[in-house]
Amino acid sequence: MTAQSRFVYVTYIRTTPDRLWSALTEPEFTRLWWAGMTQVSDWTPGAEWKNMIPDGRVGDAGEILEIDRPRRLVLTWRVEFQPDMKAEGHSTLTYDLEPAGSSVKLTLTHETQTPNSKVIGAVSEGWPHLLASLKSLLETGEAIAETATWPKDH
Amino acid sequence: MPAPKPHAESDPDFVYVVYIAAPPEKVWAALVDNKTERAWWWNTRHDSDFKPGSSIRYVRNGEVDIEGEVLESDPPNRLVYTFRSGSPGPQHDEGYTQVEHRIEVYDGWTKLTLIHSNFKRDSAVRKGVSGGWPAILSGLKSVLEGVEHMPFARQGEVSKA
Repeated sequence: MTAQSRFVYVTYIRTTPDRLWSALTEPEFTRLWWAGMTQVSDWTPGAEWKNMIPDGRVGDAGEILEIDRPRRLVLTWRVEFQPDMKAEGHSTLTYDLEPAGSSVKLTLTHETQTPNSKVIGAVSEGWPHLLASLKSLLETGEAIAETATWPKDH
Repeated sequence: MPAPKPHAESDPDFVYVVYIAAPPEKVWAALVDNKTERAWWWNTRHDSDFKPGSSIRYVRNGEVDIEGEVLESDPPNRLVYTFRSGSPGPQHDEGYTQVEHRIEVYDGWTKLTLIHSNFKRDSAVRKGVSGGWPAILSGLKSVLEGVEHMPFARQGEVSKA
């Protein structure tokens, strides 16, 4: 099936695929660039996946569809903390990591069968900011400060 | 030259946003640098004075990769120019597309938005630039944040390194 709404973002990060994989999945990294969030999963195909807000709420949840460290991770993603977006049901998030010289090409694809999806609209704004923060963190040691904390009004 | 004439049937614009830990003036200076072969742009030099009405050429390995004309230049906020492949072939035959860079302050960082527009339906140019811009603008972010740029092969080319 062709997705009805899709966001694709490509960035090149000077790091190794394995380090980038860690930065995308491990709490000690993600809390620095992903709004203080931490992911909970066994990271095996079929395993539950949760993205936890620092105050203990479940932000997003789904299941691992494909996992091939450090090349490809596919998971389903339902927004849990905002009712209007939760009502859209599951979207799919894919990370593809490919070596590019001494950098890694990261392709993020976030897509859903919902036409004019609110979720894809929201993440289209969010991902470039978060991935810029992630790239800076891995290359310079400094993330974007405001991406390190959960926004007060959410 | 006015903005390129719209196509009756077109591909969507290519839009890419990157946030950079450098002031807008430095981002602007990097975009209008006409002296250096930009390591982060596969050693391309941009030959232009970046004034409205002036020509712009991307020169690489002594050849004109891209040529166009500056339509708008508002330092350090906005730069718009037309864009056409400099060498004969299907991409050249698609005619002029349009490149726009928007630079804004965003919470102490700079938000750089690239909007490449006016593609014909099933455009080979759009396919090419969709691969190129993320690599170029990732490299620009790195160098402006003080990270040494390490070259990687351009899509469709074998690395000469």
